Amino acid sequence: MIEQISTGLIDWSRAQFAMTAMYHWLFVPLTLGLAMIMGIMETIYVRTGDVFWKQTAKFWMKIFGINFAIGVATGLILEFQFGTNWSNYSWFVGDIFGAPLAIEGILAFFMEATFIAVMFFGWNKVSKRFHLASTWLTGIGATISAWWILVANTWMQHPVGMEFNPATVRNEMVDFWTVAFQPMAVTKFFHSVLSGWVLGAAFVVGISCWYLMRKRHRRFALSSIRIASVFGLAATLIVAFTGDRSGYEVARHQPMKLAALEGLEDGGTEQGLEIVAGVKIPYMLSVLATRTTDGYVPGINDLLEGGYTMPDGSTALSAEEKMQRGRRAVQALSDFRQATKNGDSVAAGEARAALDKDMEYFGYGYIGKPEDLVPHTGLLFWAFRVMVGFGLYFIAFFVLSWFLTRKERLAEQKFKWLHVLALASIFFAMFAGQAGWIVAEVGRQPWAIQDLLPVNAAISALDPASVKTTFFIFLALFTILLIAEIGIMVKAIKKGPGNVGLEPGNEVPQTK
Amino acid sequence: MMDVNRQEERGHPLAGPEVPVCSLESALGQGMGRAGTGTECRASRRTFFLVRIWRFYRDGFQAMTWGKTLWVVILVKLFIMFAILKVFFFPDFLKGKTETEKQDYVGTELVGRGLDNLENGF
Repeated sequence: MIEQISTGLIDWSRAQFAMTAMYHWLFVPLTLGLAMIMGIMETIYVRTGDVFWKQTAKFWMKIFGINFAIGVATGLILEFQFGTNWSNYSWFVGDIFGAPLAIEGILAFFMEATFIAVMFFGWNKVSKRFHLASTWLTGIGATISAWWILVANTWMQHPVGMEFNPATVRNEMVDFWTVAFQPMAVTKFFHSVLSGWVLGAAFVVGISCWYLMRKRHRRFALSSIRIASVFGLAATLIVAFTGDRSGYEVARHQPMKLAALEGLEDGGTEQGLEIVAGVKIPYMLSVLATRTTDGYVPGINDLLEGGYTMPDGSTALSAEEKMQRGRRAVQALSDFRQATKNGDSVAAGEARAALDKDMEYFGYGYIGKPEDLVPHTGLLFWAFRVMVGFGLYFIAFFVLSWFLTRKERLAEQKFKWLHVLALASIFFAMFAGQAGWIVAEVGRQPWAIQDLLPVNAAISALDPASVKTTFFIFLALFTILLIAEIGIMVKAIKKGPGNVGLEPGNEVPQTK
Repeated sequence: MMDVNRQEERGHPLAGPEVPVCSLESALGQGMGRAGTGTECRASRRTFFLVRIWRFYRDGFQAMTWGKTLWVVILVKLFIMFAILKVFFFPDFLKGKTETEKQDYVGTELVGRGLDNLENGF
């Protein structure tokens, strides 16, 4: 007897996963960004021999260490949830999901863990160059770690390189390189990781501006802002470029996500991109989705009704047709299992052939009505605009902060407004990152694995009350961790980098 | 005394400045050792290297200031995660089943939910 899965169970499980991922993504991008910035600063120290840069790098390393310590292992809770709340999914994905995560754990995490010790304990104990290498390898380890996580995530958005085995009810990897290096994974990696670099840069500029506002550590602050602004600007431009690539990939593989985040009910050719309600950039959506000004972009209704011509020349199926084929696939799986149980190899072979024919629509067999295929358009519409809006803002912000540090004008008190804005920009970068994940993850609903497994099939048959309880436990735990992080970090920032000015008249004595 | 960085750049980066090669006793802090044979040297170098790593970590942890607070946070967090959350709130849903039982269970669930959907709507 199969237990009915309530929408409450699905909603609480999704909320729990989303909350854990969102907290986790507060710590991770700052780690990725600060790792690169402190690497650049230490490189300058090794190249110039100026001890100022050593002290500057050490201060940001300290902040990196606090963030790393609080954030480390918060991602493991997501893996707990896979095993408990999403057991059907965990089994169904088989080694596809396990392999990247195992590589992440063994290779990247150990690399990161080894070199972080040399980075923190190795000052004056190992050579300058070995220390510098360790600092970079710590950052590279964290980045490689992110690569494998994002490969696993991309596979859920666009499953490739695998074959479904009905005997084991698992997907089996048949092409590791396709899974690891599919274009969508490459784009997602650069887009996500570099958004972390933007946060790291915004953080360094923001905290440095706070010192300028308090008239402390002038040289340290201006030098840090100069490095972070150039680094942040480069990162933001690449994020914008990969964002455009990402939009194109989404249009090809997840057209419903694109239609939903644009709020496009009815599609067509020569589609404009809506900035806010009523304000459009002509042709822009067509260019984003098809690379031509007159390309056809299907809307939500078109995707549900089908019948339009797809880029490969075939005619799109309607949602109802896909659901029919999905149900045939589920029936074929049932027949295959029954035939195998009865030892009837002929019937099993026929069922397997029927399953293979409709397997790409397998997940549609669990969809109750076509409207269930439409994600939350309001949330997506605004999350997309928050993400893109802050992305554009950061281009202007980093240009301005870099320009004003050229002649040290940023230290002037008339730019106090910019100091305050820089502090607020730390949160803007966090909002942008969170909004990006909402676009990616809410946008692919109802799918746990695009077209193959919706959340109502992926979820474990749990008591919703137990999921609700653990949701609040996590909420409390993560909030405490966040308060701890902010508390320790604020203390470290207030204490400051010490006397790193090293030039007379340029360094204000530290306050106690 | 030799310059620390210069010596370390020649040898292994974790090698210290004052302990002659092939002197396990020195590495363990028991005074200067004797000259060894090739095999002894290789063996003692390995042990010596491990001792140096041990000392590197030990000294690093002992010299920590704010890092000690962070380690407390990390250990408390890991304890809560693995000893409480994982054990009491997040048991593996398919735990205790063999591989065959797991595939049977998930297969039955997936087929059942699909057929339920077919018959009743979801």
